[in-house]
Amino acid sequence: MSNEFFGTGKTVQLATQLALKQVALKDFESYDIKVLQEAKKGFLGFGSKDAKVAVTLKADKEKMSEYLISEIGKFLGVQPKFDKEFKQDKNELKMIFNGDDSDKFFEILGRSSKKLEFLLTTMLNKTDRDNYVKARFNHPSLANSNRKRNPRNSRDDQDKPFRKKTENSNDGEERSERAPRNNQERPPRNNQDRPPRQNRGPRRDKNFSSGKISSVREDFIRSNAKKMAKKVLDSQEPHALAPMNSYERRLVHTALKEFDNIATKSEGDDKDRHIVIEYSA
Amino acid sequence: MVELVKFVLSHLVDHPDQLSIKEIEGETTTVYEITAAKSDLGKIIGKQGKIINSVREVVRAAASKDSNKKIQIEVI
Repeated sequence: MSNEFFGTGKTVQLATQLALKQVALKDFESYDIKVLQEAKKGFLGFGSKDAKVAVTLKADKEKMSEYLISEIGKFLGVQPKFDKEFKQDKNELKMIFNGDDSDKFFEILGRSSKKLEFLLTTMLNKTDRDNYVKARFNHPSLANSNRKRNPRNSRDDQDKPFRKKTENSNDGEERSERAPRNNQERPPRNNQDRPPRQNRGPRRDKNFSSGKISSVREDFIRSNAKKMAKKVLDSQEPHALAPMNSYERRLVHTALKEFDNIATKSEGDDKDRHIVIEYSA
Repeated sequence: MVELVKFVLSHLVDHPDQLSIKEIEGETTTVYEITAAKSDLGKIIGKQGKIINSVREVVRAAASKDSNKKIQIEVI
C-alpha cells in the first residue's frame, strides 16, 4: 500500500520517527501507528530486537479538499471559497461555492468542472478507499447549465437553421405564404364536426399524394399558386414558392398553364427544388 | 501549466518522485509529455482513459485562460 510506511528502531518512538521521515506530512494528513514488533532488550546485545512499526497515513478529506481546491485555484489565479457539507448517507462531500472568485473559478473551468469534480474524487480516495467520499460541486452556474442544457440545445438546433433559411431566401412573401397554408390545413384536423374516423377511410400520410387529407393540401397548393401568379402578373417580378416534391410541383405547373404571360420552372436541387413563377410577356 | 499537471497527477500516483512532465512548445500547440513509473501508468490513465481525459479537459480550460494555444497531453 502506498499510504503505509515502515520503520525500525530501538524504541517504538524512534521507529515511528524514522517511518515518518519518509513522508512529508501535509497538514490535512494524520497517521495511525501500528506496532508490528515491540523492542526487546537482549542480554549483552544478544537476542535483542528492534521495534517495528507501520505508519498508515490518513487524510482528513474535508481539509484535503480545501487544500486541493486552493492549490488548483492558485494555478488559475483565483481563490475560490466554499462551505463543506458532508452527507453521511450518500458519502457525498457537497462543496458549496460562493463569492466572486468562485464565479471566476467556474467561468474558467466551464464544462470541465464536472471533470475536476471527478478528479477530486479520485484524489481524495487515493489513500484510503474504505471511506469513499464523493466530491460534489455546488454553484449557481452549475445548476443552471444542468437544467437548461437539453431543451436549449435542441431548440437551437432546430430553430436557427430554419429561421436563417427563410431569412436568406426571403423575398418578403415567403412567410406570408407559409402561414395560411398552416391555417388551412389545421382547422379541419381539430374540428369536431369532422366525420368520425371510420367514414374517412384509412388514414394516409399527409405528404402522400392521394387521399382525403392530402387533397386538402392539393387544393391549397393550386389556389396558392394561382394567387401567387396573380401577384406576379401585377408586379411582373418573379416569385419563388416553397420547396415541394415532384407531384406537388406538377400540380402547380399544370394549374398555372391556364395563365397567359406566366411561365413556371423548377429550380434548385433535391430538397430545395422549388418552383419559380415568372412573368413572360 | 506544467505545475498544474504535476500537482494533479502527483496526488493520483503512488510514486510522485518518478513523475516527470516535459513541456514542448510548438507554434500552435503545446505538448506535455508525462513519464511515470510503470505501475503508475494505469492510475494516470484510468479506466477507459477517464482520468487522463479529465486532466486534459481541466488543463485545456485552465490554459485557454492565458493563450489560444492548443494543449496536448500524452502519457509515454
